Amino acid sequence: MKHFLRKSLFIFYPLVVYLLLIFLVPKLVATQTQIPAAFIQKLNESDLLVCGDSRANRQIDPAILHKNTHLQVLNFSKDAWNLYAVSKVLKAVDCQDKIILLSVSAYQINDGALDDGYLGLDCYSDLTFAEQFQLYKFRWFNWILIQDRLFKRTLFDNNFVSTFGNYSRTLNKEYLPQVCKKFSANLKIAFNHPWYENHQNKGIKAELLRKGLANLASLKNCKIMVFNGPISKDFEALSTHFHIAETEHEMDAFLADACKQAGISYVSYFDDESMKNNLYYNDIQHLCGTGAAIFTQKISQRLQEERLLPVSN
Amino acid sequence: MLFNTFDYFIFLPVVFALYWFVFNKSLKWQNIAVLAASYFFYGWWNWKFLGLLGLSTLLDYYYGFFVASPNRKKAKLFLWLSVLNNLGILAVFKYYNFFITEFESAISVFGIHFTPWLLKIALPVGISFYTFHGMSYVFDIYRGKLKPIQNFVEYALFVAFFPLLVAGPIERANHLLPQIQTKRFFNYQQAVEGCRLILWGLFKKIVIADSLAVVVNQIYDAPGNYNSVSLLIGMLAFSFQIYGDFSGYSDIAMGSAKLLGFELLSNFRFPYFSRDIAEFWRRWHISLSSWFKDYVYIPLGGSKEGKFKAFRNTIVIFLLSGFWHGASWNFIVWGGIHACGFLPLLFLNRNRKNVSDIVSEQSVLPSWKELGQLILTFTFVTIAWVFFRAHTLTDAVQYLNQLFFGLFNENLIESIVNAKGKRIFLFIIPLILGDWYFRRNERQLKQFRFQYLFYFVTTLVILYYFLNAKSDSFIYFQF
Repeated sequence: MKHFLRKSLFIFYPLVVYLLLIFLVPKLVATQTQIPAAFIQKLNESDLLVCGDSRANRQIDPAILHKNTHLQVLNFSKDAWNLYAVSKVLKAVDCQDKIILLSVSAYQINDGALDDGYLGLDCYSDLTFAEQFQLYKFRWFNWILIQDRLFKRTLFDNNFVSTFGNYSRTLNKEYLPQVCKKFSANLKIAFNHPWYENHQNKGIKAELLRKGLANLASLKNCKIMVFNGPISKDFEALSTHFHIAETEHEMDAFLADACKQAGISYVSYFDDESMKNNLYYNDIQHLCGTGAAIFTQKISQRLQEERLLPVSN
Repeated sequence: MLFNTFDYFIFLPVVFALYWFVFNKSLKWQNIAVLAASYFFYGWWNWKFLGLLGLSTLLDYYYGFFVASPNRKKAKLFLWLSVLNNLGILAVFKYYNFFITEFESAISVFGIHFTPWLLKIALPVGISFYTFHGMSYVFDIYRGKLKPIQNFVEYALFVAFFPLLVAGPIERANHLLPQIQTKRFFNYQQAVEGCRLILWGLFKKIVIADSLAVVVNQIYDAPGNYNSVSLLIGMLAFSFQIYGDFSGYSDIAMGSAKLLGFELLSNFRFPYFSRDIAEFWRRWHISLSSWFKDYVYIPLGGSKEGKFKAFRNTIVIFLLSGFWHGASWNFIVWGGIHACGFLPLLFLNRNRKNVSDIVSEQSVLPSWKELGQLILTFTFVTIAWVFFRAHTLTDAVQYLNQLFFGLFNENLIESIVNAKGKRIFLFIIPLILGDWYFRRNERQLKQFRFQYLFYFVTTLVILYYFLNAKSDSFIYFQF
């Protein structure tokens, strides 16, 4: 048995080598961020940029915004696209003279929300090792997974979609409204919701978001509005359980303060009663086509009220 | 719990340590520990179905005593009760929705319409396997091959032993129970073989099957978007995906069992090196085909009562075997196709031609004749897999239709250049070569030069693919 146990330790050698590889290679190999020319051209042709996560991706109809504002609108948002990552892209393309509408959601400041996608590689790769450790000290398997993704991206990935939002849709200029349907809302969903997991709102991700706001504020002649999306009646009912409402209100307070410091407008629709009708939704917290149309109207109005649109509008 | 998850690689060493270091003094406690581990393993997926597993086990345990009665009428009655009980569980959880919707569409022809009430629960994992374990136990007692077991823990462990609980191999009571009842001692060679099997099984599942699954899913989900060569690639990829997936699972199951001192029945013996369909079925999912042979084919009269009955019985077991895989016409047709491949061999008395040996046992390469036989059998099996994998029968027919018409009508060079998924050969070729190399030694990887380097690289590759994406569940979990 001893002999077997000693020999079976062999399994740890490749494991250790692999871990060393995934942690060291991204540090040693510099990667170039490439931005496709077609994307830059599309960006330059547009006046109003809609970006951010699923709350912009599925909820802001560029055609309605265009109709209301007479501006060229480009919605290049992408599910779970973090504000910090968006700011990196806009800074990299030296975005100027634009109106930027950006969605943000609670997972972006919750250090507990680390499941796949809720901390993108663009954010993760800019953290120091100490910050990464701080975030993942109790979630080390998630840490290995994200580090592995970074390792593979460093070696092979030329996939712009992960960095530049909904790239293919951006080029095809399509918007796909979601179907309105009955959705299931139960405590299990709320309890297991990855956005609100291990609630910790004032840590590393919050700081990252602050850096993202600073990046956005430094863009030349850009007027920016950040928003938190509305939720359904059913989700509101669930949010009184656990810490969902608390997290959302903490985020609102944090963003109101951080945006104010950065000179950016912030508006939250989390408590907007007029948008809570379940019929507007595709799932508990994402609007369907009907809801998106109403919400886009509201957003257009808000852009006007915030005096972010050109005077001619 | 899946074998290809991180959870299992915590679970298995913990069970191993408890089994050999804490409970090693007593067979009784070793069995209790493995039984508890097995229930934990099953409950990890869905604890709500533990009750069903427990109930099924308990009923067959008691039926065993009644079936052993010297009063044959009483024994027969309880044998049928056991069969009804096990098939009833399967009928409710696995086949009810299929039967009720088929019934509804059948009577709608006569203008009678109703909305069937459908069962909206997930199919309990492994239900087809553990019910078959229970039935084999009761059948063996009825036939006098086995005495009813007194110790409930030993019987419960036979039904729920975690390596084979959710996707087989389907064990026989007279093979596994004696091992459960006998004191096990740690055997270095057996444990090493177990580790090798686990490693090879993981490689087949994580590296080969899951990589092929990406191509297979894309092509089978929208076959209309692809040219004929891509469809051919999709077919090939699925043949090797299902082989890698299921035989990989079986290897991990056998390897895990070996680590605890058990030997499970072999489930695969290089099925794609079969020279005819009869040989294929002696090499593919052996535990299921031999189960049907022993408990259905032979009781029906086998081949001893004339050609007609042999034909009838063959068709019955192939259709049943297809239906066992799932409540869908696809599987029944798949079974029927295999029956069509088998019957000519039975008619010509050639179904037992390749029983004892493996192809090219004495040579490195197959002869031209053997190569032709292998290709022919593989082609037949691969075409049949289309019915197994396609979403509906219509999809399967369209798939084949598009493939064959495309092959004649498309510009072949252009189709090859534009074909999707050509990289599958990177995964298929090592699998074929590996299996070809080891075909004489069955599943036992022997020591060889640079073996540690080989294990090292293999583990690195497995890790690379393991972390790459969400790994697919094993195909046979759904059965």
